[in-house]
Amino acid sequence: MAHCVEVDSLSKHYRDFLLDAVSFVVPEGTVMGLVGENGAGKSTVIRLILGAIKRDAGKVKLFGTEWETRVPNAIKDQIGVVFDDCYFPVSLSPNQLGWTLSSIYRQWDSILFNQLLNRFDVPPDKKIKELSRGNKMKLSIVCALSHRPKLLVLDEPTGGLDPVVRTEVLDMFQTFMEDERHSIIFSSHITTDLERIADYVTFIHKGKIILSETKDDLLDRYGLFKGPRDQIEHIEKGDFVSVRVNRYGLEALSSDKEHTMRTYPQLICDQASIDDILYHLTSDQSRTREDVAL
Amino acid sequence: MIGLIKKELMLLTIGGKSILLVLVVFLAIFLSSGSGEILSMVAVIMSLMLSLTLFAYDTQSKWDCYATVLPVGPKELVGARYIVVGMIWTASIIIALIFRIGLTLLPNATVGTDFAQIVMESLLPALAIAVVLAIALPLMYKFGVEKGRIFLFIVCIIPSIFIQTFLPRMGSMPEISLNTLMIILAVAGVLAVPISLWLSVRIYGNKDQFA
Repeated sequence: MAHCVEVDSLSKHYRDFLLDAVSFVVPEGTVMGLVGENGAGKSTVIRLILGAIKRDAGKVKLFGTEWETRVPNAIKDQIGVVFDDCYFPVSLSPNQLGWTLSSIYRQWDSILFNQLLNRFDVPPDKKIKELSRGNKMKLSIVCALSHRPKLLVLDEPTGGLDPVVRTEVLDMFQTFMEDERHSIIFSSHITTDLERIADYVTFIHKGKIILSETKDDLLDRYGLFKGPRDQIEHIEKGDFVSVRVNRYGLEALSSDKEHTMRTYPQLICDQASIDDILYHLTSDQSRTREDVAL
Repeated sequence: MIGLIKKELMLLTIGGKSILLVLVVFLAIFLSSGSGEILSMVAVIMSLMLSLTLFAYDTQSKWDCYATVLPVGPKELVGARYIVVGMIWTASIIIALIFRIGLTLLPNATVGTDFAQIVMESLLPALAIAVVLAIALPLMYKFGVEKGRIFLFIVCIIPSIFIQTFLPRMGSMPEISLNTLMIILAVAGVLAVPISLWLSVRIYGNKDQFA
């Protein structure tokens, strides 16, 4: 399978943050979800992939083409980008913005742009500054799709949206993925969105990738084990990614669900969500956490 | 680049309305008095204000962050801004010339009717503003619109302080004719604009727009 995006040992150093040798690939026709807490480095990775900021080290290939200092315009033409905020001139209307972008993107489809505005109920003649947060985000998505890109890069596109709009937006991404040549890189805090559309999940923690694999493997492999508090005396902490104890009992994440089920039949195994895995992976590894009494 | 120019022109039509209103007020004053020697100065200063307003619009919307992912490079992005600023500057000269010539036709006109004089009086401030713009644009790209305005003020005020404070101590001031001044400003403008463009492209290309 060809790779749409290849990131190899990508590094960026800021005064108070280091993105440290990040590597992953996005196969063509798949959705890669980037997950991590605030400040983990998700947006930095996305900006480096797009060439929006300069990298200190590493390589990036887009559609098989490696670039050094600047992403070639022909490649940018094939990428649709949605940032976490609306960066369009706020005094323009969506129609005026579309008119502008139609002369910037070679493959801009004005008919598609108008159809998408209509489908998402984005007022075409209202000034962008007068649009709601949801409509601004929908406009960003409409603009990202209207030049018929092969790759969508989405940085927190569903943040701050209500569940109805979020569902609409996710539906649109699923429609986009009906073409098997299309790919998406999607960063989000809302892991339920990723569970719905991602094929691969990459966890970033403090500038490092701690896990990158298919979502199905991840959800198959990991299990959330629960039991009474006193079970803490009977378990080997090394068998778990992390163990958490609170007043109601014990909760532990295992990266080998089947093995742990056989070893600890007294514990109940639940399906671990991406949220659970993220929480346990980013807490201090193999350390028992005791809840603070409030 | 055409798309970028379109965007700038659309923003100008929205933001330029208030500037146009000010121009109309000034025009009304000049028409009623029949004199308008400083009309050229008013028009070109407004061209400077309008040009700097374009930076303010981009800062407000964080357009430069979005521009990093558009299929255009720093040359096109900065080049489009210079073209639009050039258009504003040219328009200000034309507007000033039209109004100055119009003023001479008024029955209560106190301005001279010598066409060459009118052209010179219109071009002189325009050339001076062209040099100021050539300094201002890289400053705006480097420091942003807020800090850039302060730096521009400092850059513009230093020569005035130098002329007023130190030149009189150095002896008699050399007499410079309007023609000579115009040639000096024209040469300075011709040299300054390409250097300014080159500097702006470099500054823009090296800037982290997300910082």
